[in-house]
Amino acid sequence: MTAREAVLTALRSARGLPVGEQVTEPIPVLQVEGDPTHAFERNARALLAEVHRTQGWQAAWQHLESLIRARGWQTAATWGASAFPQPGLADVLARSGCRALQPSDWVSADVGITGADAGIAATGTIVLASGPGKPRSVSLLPPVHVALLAESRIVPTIEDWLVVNAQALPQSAGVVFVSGPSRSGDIEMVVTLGVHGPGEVHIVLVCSE
Amino acid sequence: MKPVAKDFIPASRIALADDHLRKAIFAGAMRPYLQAAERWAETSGRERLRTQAREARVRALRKLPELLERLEKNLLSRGAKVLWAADAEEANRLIAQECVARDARLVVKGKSMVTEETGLNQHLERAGMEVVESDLGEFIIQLAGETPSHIIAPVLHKSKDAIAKLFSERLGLPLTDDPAEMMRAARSYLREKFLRADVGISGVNLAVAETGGLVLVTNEGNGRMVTTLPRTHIAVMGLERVVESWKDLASIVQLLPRVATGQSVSTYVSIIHGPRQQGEPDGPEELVLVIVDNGRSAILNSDYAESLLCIRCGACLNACPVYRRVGGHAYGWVYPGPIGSVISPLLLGLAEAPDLPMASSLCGACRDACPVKIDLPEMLVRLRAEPPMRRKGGRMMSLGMKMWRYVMLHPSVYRWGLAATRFLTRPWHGEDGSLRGLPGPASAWLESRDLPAPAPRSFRALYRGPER
Amino acid sequence: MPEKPVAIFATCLVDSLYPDIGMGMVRVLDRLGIPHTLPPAQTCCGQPAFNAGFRDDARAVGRAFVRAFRDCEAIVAPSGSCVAYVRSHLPHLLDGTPEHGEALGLAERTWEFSEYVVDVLHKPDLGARLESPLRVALHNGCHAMRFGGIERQPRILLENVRGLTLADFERSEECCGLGGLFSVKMPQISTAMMEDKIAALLASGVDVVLTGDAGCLMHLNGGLARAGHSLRVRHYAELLGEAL
Repeated sequence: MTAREAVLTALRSARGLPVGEQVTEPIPVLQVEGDPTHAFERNARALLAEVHRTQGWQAAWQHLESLIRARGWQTAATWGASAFPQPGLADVLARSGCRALQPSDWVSADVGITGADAGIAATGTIVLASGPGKPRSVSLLPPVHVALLAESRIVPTIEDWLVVNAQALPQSAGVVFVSGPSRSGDIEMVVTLGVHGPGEVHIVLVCSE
Repeated sequence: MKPVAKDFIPASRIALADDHLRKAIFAGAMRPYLQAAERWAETSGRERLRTQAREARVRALRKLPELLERLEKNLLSRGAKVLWAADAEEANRLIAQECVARDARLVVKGKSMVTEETGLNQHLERAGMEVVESDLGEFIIQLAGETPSHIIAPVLHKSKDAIAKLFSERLGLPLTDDPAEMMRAARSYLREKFLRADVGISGVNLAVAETGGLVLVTNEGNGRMVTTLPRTHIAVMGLERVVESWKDLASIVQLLPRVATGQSVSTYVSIIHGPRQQGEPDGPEELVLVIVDNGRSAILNSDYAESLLCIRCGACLNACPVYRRVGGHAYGWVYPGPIGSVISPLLLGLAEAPDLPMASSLCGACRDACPVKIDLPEMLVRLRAEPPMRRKGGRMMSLGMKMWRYVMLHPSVYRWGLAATRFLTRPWHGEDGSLRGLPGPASAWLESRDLPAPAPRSFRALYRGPER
Repeated sequence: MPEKPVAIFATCLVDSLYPDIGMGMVRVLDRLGIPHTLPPAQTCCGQPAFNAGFRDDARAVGRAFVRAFRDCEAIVAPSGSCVAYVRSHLPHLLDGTPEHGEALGLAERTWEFSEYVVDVLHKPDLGARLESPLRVALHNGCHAMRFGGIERQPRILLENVRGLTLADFERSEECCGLGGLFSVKMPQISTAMMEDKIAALLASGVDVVLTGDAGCLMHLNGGLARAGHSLRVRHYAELLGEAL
């Protein structure tokens, strides 16, 4: 008998099942009060992400450009142009003199620029799903991560997003929920940022015009 | 990790004598956790979230074989490989085989309790591989050659100064008292390892059978690195760590950080559905899931099945007054605190951890703290009644209980016994009516505490007395 | 008001070591005009054996407990720990014995002293008065608080005592370290817990500590006396009885 059969056989004959409390109605938990976009901004800031609210994609790209200039980022890792809902990234990079690096050099990029598949209002989280033109390392390797999130993609809770997208989830080999910069409290519980992932997260919120 | 859970009592004495440790655990390091527990206690919707999460876990255990098969089927359909291990030895062997087959020299690891349980690192190292832990806490532990002392905060017991000294000796970092500098030194050391690693090994916080998704919850991002950069990702999970649906997952993923660290959400929740798919620019080319039993199916077939609901959040450790005094190392194995006192004897055998079920005053703080409402005190008491425990207590204890039982079953003997006890203990009565220097089992009590002598007249004597 | 007298379950510790606690409870019941009796066949509920893992012994003693109280309409005890045991563990333990059904019934009719007075008799204010003001810390026993749900009731009774002020203290919800057999099997850990509890109580600057369980009282007073402190723990039934 293989280990697989042995384990499954043992489990099938197991008798000691814990008791549960009967929950007939699904219980809604952790509701979001008020406007979801405001809640998103507030909660993302509480997690030490910087939120930049802009009106429309044109303004969003302009904001990104000024951010790149202000911070002096020279090199970038980015999602593919087609992975953003609107064109404009190439122009921004060209105008600001920031060079888009090849994937093999991403580890030395100053900034990683991505879109976002969703925003979660209750926690200030952004959702990034891997796929063509949407590499996972862009939001992971550089010390700074900038994500452009369309306001229309904000949902109230993690539960809302997961339940609606459950069947579509496997289409991406890797989905990640990002809530602020990478952090650790392992050394005497002092919070330090940027342990392995980015130490700085900017969310450019693209509101409808 | 080689269990030394037999030695709880001597190890706890050493821990108690270590004044620094005692202060570090309670006054210093645990404070944020205790504050988190307070915030959590005040969270609205707390009880509903607990009930929902418990339900999700209970449902999963009821359908466990079915859910594991669905998980397997879904993962296979996306090109992952699924392996089953009946015990620790088989798990280690299978994982090593996978590594060797890929000619792996360097393995980076994310946090994984089950591989601590099986002693995977030592096994891979013996096979000639370099194994690097990448969670900051686990990395420090590995550098120091120690073992974790807390499920969530592995280096709770180590001071910043000790870590600075360690980094100076092992990484060449100039002595500093700034945790951020130490963190950056670890970051650059580990980054180089991530980029060179042939295999990444991670744990699995939970798997979702519905679609075959593996979920990893981390704050540092090492879990993302391990599951993104190396060519091969091997995920290792205890077989109980599955839930049925994404809805079930949602309640637990919202609960876990709240009880574990007081965060509303962990920084990263990664959902993995197989190796890199067609058209995806990065991610591992291969995914291997290893499902480990190692005693869990036997637990499911026992009175202790409820312990498999555990989501490894560490809340019972933080709440436990015994853990707060002795720290995690005294428990002698991977799982400390109340949950460890239950599952270490179950996984290792009671003979290997005979004192752990007694390492509790049954105060119930762990039961209140547990996000999935595991009745830990009830299981500790049940373990105390298991035959090997009874032998451990010794014949004196059994004899004492038989005498106690006889006395309690005979009210007249009981009445007479009270008077007799008072008379017989006369030589030890202090001026204040307390007993001092009494021999026998009372001596352990009398080391630090007085004991009152029986009252001159019992309550039943007074109750029947003339004043009424 | 109950028709039949309420049955007092003295508990073994109060009966043998602290009869004044029982007498305090009697005084309160007398003042409220509640008739009471002391069923003579009672000894112990069996909890010590149960917690130590000696289930057969606990079952035998538990069956005797049920028989001793089977005819009683209501049972009141000066111990939240014993009450929690009779309520939540004993019926389970007696499953399969002839006394199982009666144990289930007893579980519903057994009350801790303060709970009986506040929730059953609806007498939150006993009209008690202290001659000189007293600052008091209330230490809730863990079993009473977490398994018996008894936390609110003693507080209500004490808040209504004229001249008594309840003070907060650190670690108020942490165990004192008794835990039955734990205190002698692992005396060092038990003592460490006790010492921290005592330090917190001393730091609160109260005149006296009140509790509802003779076990905690014995443990903390044992430690306080050994360390030479004058602070003492008393049972609130005793204090209430005196203040009437």
